[in-house]
Amino acid sequence: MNIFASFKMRLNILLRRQKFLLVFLVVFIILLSSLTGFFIIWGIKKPEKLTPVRIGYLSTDIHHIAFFVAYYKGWYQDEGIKPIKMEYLYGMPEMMAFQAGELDAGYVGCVPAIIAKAKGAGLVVVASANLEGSAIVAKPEIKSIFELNNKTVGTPGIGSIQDCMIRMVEKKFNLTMEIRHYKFSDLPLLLEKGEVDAYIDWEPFCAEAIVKNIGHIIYTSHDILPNHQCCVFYVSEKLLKEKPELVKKLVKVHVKAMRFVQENPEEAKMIFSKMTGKPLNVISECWERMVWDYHVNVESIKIFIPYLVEQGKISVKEIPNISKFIDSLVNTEILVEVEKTFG
Amino acid sequence: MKFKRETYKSTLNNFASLVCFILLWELLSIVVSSPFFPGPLDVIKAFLVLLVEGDIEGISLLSHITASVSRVLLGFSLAVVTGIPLGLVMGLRRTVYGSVKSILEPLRFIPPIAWIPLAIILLTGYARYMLIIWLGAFFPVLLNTITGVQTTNPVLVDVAKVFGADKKTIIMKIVFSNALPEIFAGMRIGLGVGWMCIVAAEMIGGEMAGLGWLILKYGELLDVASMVVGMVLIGVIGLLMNEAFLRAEKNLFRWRKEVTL
Repeated sequence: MNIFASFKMRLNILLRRQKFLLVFLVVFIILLSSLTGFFIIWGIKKPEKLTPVRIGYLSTDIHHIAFFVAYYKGWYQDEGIKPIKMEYLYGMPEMMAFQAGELDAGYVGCVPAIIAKAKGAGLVVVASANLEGSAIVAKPEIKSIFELNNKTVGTPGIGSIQDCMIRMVEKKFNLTMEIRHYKFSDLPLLLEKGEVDAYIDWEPFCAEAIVKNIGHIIYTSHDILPNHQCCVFYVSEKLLKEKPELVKKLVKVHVKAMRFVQENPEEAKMIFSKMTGKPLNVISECWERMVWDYHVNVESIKIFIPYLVEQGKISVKEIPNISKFIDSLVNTEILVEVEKTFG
Repeated sequence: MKFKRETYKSTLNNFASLVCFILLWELLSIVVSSPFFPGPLDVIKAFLVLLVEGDIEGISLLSHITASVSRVLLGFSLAVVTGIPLGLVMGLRRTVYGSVKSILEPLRFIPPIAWIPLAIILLTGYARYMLIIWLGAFFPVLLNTITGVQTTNPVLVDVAKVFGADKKTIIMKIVFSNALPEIFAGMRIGLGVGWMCIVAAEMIGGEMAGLGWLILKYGELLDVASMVVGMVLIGVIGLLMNEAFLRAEKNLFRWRKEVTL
């Protein structure tokens, strides 16, 4: 075979291969498009009987136990609600997500809720999730709050209620602390490593240090401000305006769960342990420091606001009138209605 | 003369695009009209407040900038000091790279942020930041060094051998010199990645100063304008460092012909 013939043969093979490749590509694209179309049609859900509600909460935060209990028991579904769990690491990212329209309702600390509302977030607090429930944990050699002068104290974030409270302690006792911010779950480890002399955190992250013999509690949030509002249950203003009956159902589920926690502590602890993986002994350790009251302590919120302004976290311009602000932030009319149904 | 005219034209064009960008941004912020979407004027106001008063905890803007720059430079320097020699060895001895590929390549794909929990458990203080930034900056430097070494023209090596050059001379005067432009490019990319890691690194917490920390702090307070100040400062400092690198490259590699169409 001469060179020309050989070249022609190779060219024909190449062209045949290319035709084959072209045909293969076309078939592949048709198959892929069909599959995609199939999944799209399959994915289009039929109208649900349950109303989906996106509920925010904090990961392993015992303050939000009402949500864990209600979810576990299926009480949302009993009210025709499909709860969509939206988990966050701490309060401000949850508030950012809420502001972005990612949430319909949720559980969060009252200070992040105040800050978010002051900045223009459209949320309304409809019930309390818990009162108190935080503590200052210190190294074993530190025996009292006064020994925290010139010491390093960790907090779970500048926008947290715990940060606000530690600064209230500073002012109350005329102390100077070196306050540092860390991730809430790292604080017991950092105390153990000696990077902080003490930390303030929400339960059960104080109980963890005690159970592991890393530190001890020298001051609780009850000592700082008795019966203070901690976490709240909120809904969006839009949801409250457009679907008040749905909000009523959400509040009903919340109150039912809170009453269950009050009346069945052992079972509530077990549910929280199952859903979060937190050991029962840790949950039991912090239980006595929790106050499971679903009534909002508005007076304590009024006390927090001037501290937040003083600490530079909100400005006077944002809250020119505290009473008006509280009226726009807290609305417990539905809670009062719901409570009557429980007798 | 031609070069100066081009530089002048480029500067003018850049200035014009910056002005257009700012005007568009201001227009968009007026349209959106939300406290969570500040315009350039809000950001400038926030910048001035931070500059004059410091942040909410009284830490000055200069402290934030110094803290971040020092962390990035330390982590980046470590990446260069480890990446270049390792890259030279792996480039010259392909079996070395082949033998450690199963460890190196998976490590390359793990994002620096994923190392944060380990960094907290195993290290303390500055070492944590350096680890995260090193992880970001190391691989571009390493891989570009390897590529630069491996793309050395073998004809040059042969010519050197013919003229009696020993191994050391070949490596330093031919291989390394040939690889330098690639190494520099890798360093520039590594520095950029290092800056991108600073927010992740400073998420660890503890030290109160740092631009990444400033962004996170004001994020927690939903003060978007101050957050943007932190972001812009990172961008501007990154740009200045990048420009410094480019100038250095242009001076060092004048012999390299640039292709323009």
